[in-house]
Amino acid sequence: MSWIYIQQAIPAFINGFFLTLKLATIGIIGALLLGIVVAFWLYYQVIGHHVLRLYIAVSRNTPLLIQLFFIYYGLPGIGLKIPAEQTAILGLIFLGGSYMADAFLGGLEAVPKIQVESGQVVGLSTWQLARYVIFPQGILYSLPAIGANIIFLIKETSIFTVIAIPEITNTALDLIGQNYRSNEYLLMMVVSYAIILIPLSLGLSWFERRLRRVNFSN
Amino acid sequence: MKKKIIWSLVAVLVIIVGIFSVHALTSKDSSSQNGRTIQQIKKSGEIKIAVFGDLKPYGWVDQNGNRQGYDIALAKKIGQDLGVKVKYVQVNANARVDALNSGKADIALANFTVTPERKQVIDFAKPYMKVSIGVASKKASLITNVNQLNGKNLIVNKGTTAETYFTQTYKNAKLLKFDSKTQQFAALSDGRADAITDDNSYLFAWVKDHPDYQVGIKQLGDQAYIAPGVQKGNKSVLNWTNDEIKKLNNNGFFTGDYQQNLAPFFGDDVKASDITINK
Amino acid sequence: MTDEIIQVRHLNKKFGDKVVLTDINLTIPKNKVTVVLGPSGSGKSTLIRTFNGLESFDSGDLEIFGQKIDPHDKKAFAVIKHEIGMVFQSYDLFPNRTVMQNITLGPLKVQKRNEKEVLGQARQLLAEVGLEKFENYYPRQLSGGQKQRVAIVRALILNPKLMLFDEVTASLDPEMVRGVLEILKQLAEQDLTMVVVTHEMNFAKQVADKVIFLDSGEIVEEQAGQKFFQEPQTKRARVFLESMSF
Repeated sequence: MSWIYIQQAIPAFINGFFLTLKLATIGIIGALLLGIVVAFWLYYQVIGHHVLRLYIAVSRNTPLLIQLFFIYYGLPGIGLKIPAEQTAILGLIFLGGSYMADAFLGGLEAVPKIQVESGQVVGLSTWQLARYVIFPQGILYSLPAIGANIIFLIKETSIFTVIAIPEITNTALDLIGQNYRSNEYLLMMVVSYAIILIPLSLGLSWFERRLRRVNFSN
Repeated sequence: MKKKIIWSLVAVLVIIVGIFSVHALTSKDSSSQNGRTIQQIKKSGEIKIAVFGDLKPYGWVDQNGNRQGYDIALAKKIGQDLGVKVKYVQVNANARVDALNSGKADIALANFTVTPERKQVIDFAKPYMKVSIGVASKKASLITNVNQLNGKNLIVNKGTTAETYFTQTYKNAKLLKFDSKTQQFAALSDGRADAITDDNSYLFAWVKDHPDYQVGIKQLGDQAYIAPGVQKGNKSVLNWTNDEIKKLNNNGFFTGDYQQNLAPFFGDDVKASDITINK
Repeated sequence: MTDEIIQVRHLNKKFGDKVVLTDINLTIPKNKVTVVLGPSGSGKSTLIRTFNGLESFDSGDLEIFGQKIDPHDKKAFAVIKHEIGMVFQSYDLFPNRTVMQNITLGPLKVQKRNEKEVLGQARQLLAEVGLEKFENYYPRQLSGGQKQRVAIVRALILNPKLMLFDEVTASLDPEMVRGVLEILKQLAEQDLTMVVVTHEMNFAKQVADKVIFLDSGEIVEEQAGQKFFQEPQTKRARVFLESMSF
């Protein structure tokens, strides 16, 4: 273990750290929004929901690696050249959207039927029912799955290395390739991920407990 | 609550650092013989050789699933002279050192350029080929001088001498770092960068199939040598390989290897004597 | 405008192969209390749930407020739905909203009424059911009886022309039942049009202007309240009344 190598690599890891954080944040927000839309689409069985089922099947049953390869190396074949960072974000949204949709849908379906009927007899429209009754209650049932998905998606960013994005994993592998110091750089890689993931998972479970305490009843 | 979070963080970090420190300490103190000896390899009837799987014409897999190339021919020859079967371990550029030092491979014949950094962590046998770094780009916007790369996107393969050159000597290009040769050439074809840098011999081979491109800079930095790599401290395999390479350099094996495996892929830009080492 | 707020003619409904309502003919009189009685599983809940569109039906005519309802046209119900209040058997308050937020959701978001006026009416109604101090409580902080009283206020604040009560005391502990029934009795005295499904026979006897007795999805008797309890016309009704032994 040589601290000189660690010291020299700190700036590279800081760049990788913030790049990972940036791509993950945008990708996860995108995945959450897509997930909510898809979940409500399926919940209300709006026209086209069969196509969405297909999307979920494809997204969940193919590796992110293949999805990124398809976007980055495949799409230029039909004249669509998407830059690496956008490819990464798109890939994360495509993958995460289906996981988030399943998480949200599970929550929406867990809302008791009597709650929906109570909203109906008060006269709420479909949209109002979704906004004031189904979503705020469904989200509570969805939270554990959403939290797990967020962590899963952050870990998946390590695959961005295949499209030459200098995130944390790429930085570590690259430095190992140049200087052959596996121990130092792998340690820095693990620490970088731990700095993101440990506070996040503690924060998520704290948030979940708090929301539950405030909101669950009957 | 906050205290709890901080303490769990500290605990996890301490455990991680601890594991790595122990690993680093225990893996250092072994100076005598590392890895399998030639006798052990002969006894097992099989030698494990690290090769590329996607680097035409050095080490690649053809349409029928057979391994082909300049390095593969050498690997077969080594297996033959040792009287053992060859087991191929496919690697990427930046996995070559770890493949040796973890014992996954006895020898690496993967277009391995000798560098001072690498010499610290593995041992190289005598070289069997000479190369230098080149830069290829589109003919329409050909790059002929390294200063033209200032601020441009340049594709490199992680863990190659070209990457080292562009991180230590000429730092003004924006590097796109790929894991494999397939990915880096695909990215170049898709127009994701202005140029690619790698050992000139691959570039010659690639531009022959891609006439829109040309190797605008044929030699950059010092002449470098390609040699078999072995695990650091594996004297038994190192000595045997040195003798083997010396023999093969003298008896013209590599000229034949060149004619068979490289000449069909290189254009008229290259001659056998540019690549092989004859003494 | 007739004195009938609902008219049902030859209404039939099946769940899959199972017939739940057969050839229903009835009228619900305005400003009166109609009590729907019958054994468990006789179709009482399903019947009153067709009145506000929670259940569709297969054939027959349903006329509400003089307006004919197409059972498959959800939009038709949307127009009249907030004029029909309903309280269910199980607690149905929104757990993520306070008592006041539960009550005001409909008037503010559906009827788009003035907030000040709505809050005033809500406080007045809460006071009438003895819950004036609970407006900022969440449902989980209330007893079952308190929740049902809030549910009643939540329906009443929409100023409905018709109130449906579906076994509103069936899930309550015995000591809670009386308080809720007292409120229903007060409402009955205020000339509100009510349809009440219940098993509380003493209460039914006190409030019923009209009784509809249902068995196996058929109307067995449609009768004035006092007459049904004193001289039931059919054997099935007599057996039912005896079995309730009140």
